[in-house]
Amino acid sequence: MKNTIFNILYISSKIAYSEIKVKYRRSILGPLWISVNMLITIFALAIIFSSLFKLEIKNYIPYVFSGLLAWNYINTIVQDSIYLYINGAIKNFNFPVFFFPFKNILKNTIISSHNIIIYIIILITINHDILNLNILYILIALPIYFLNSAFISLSIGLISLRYRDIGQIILNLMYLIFLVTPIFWDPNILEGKKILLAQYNPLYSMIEIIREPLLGKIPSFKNYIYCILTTIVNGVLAYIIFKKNFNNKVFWL
Amino acid sequence: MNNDAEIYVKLNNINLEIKYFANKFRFFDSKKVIIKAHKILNNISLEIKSGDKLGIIGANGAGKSSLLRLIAEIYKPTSGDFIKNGSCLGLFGNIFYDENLLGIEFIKNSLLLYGRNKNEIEQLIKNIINFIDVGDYIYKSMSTYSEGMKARVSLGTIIFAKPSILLVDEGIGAGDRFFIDKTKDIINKILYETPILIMASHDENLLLKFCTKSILMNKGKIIKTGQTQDIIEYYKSKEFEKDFIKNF
Repeated sequence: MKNTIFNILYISSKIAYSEIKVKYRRSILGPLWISVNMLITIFALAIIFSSLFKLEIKNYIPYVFSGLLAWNYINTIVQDSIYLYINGAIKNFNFPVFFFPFKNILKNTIISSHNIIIYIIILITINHDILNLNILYILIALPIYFLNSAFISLSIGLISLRYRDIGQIILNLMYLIFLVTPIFWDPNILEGKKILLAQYNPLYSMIEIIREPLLGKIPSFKNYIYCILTTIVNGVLAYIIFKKNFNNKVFWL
Repeated sequence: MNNDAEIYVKLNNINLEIKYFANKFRFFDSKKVIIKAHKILNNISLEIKSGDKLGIIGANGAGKSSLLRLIAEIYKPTSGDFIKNGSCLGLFGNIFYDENLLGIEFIKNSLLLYGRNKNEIEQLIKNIINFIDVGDYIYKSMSTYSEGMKARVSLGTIIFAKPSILLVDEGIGAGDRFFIDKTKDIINKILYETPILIMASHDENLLLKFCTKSILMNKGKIIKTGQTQDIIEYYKSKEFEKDFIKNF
């Protein structure tokens, strides 16, 4: 097969789409179940934390929804990456290097796009003032997200294929990261050195470059710099892991 | 499809070695990790041109499947030169990355992976469905298929994708006798038309039918090359048995 990036993207997207169809076959709501789950979480969080943080619910819902949108994408990419290569198929066919990472990205992008539509509907209903053209800044975030997702899929996929404990460690870490990253809470409530949790947390910048445009604001330049640095680090790590491990992956099944 | 004249497979002093940990990595089991090296393929040199039908014979663990997987680029050689030209597909086993796919979805996705475009897939799909002959199961999840049905789907999809280099690791005899009777003419035609066929099998009749030349492998090495009939006779001889037992 022609191993051009576009060709692999085309094949991966076709296969990702058919896998989503399969996953939600015989379900009435289909992938919208993800949005339903998210809505339930958001409303539960909104009821509790808006009163705890003394925030207006019409401002808190968009804040937590946009944060969770970005977080859910990152989280599912990481979780699906753990089992990316743990699949007998790689023993029987020479899949292109980026076939599984691209499939992972496209599958989660299709699913996340459902949530964005729901977000916009909710925003129009409860607080349409914050919806403006700054939402287009999301287009800058997308290539950063896709690149990082490809690198992370490749690195985590290979590492957790080789060391089966790594996947479990990552799953536990992700929960911890969710709690310490300002996703459902406002970083401004932190005092003293605790503010570093937000300032030097690369995941916070990743969340911000999606959340700010969704809240009608422009992400800060610092956020973009952190994201680009994170992308470079992820890229270098992925390259090292790929060079060292990709050719031997079949022997770790 | 590539021009027949350009289709070839060349292996020069190929070695495939696996370094592995004797004890699996554990966080709470601090036994010393010993690295072992195991040579799977040892100094393999081969040149296969368009029109060649090569059989690979050998006992279990001789390296037949590893050699095929190396030609399919699933295994990468540790050292040596390997070049090939031509679309190459291998019938090794399932490539079911998702068993929840319907049979028809699996065939379409596989053909995409095999490099076929949308129009070609539309043309091929009818012939493949007729060949596989699993009835309504083609619209059911692959997870409901028997092993024989899965093998038929894999076989049908690969042979109708018509690669220039076809690698077969057993598997041609998939299916019940009704399926074999019904499809033998199609299989024969496609296999004869394939520019390069490399087949590893324990089935003498299959090898004699399709392969003009054969190689005999033992412990990752090619120990004899020649006409398929001669290689089979040597493989069955006391002489080989003596050498094999001595070397084992």
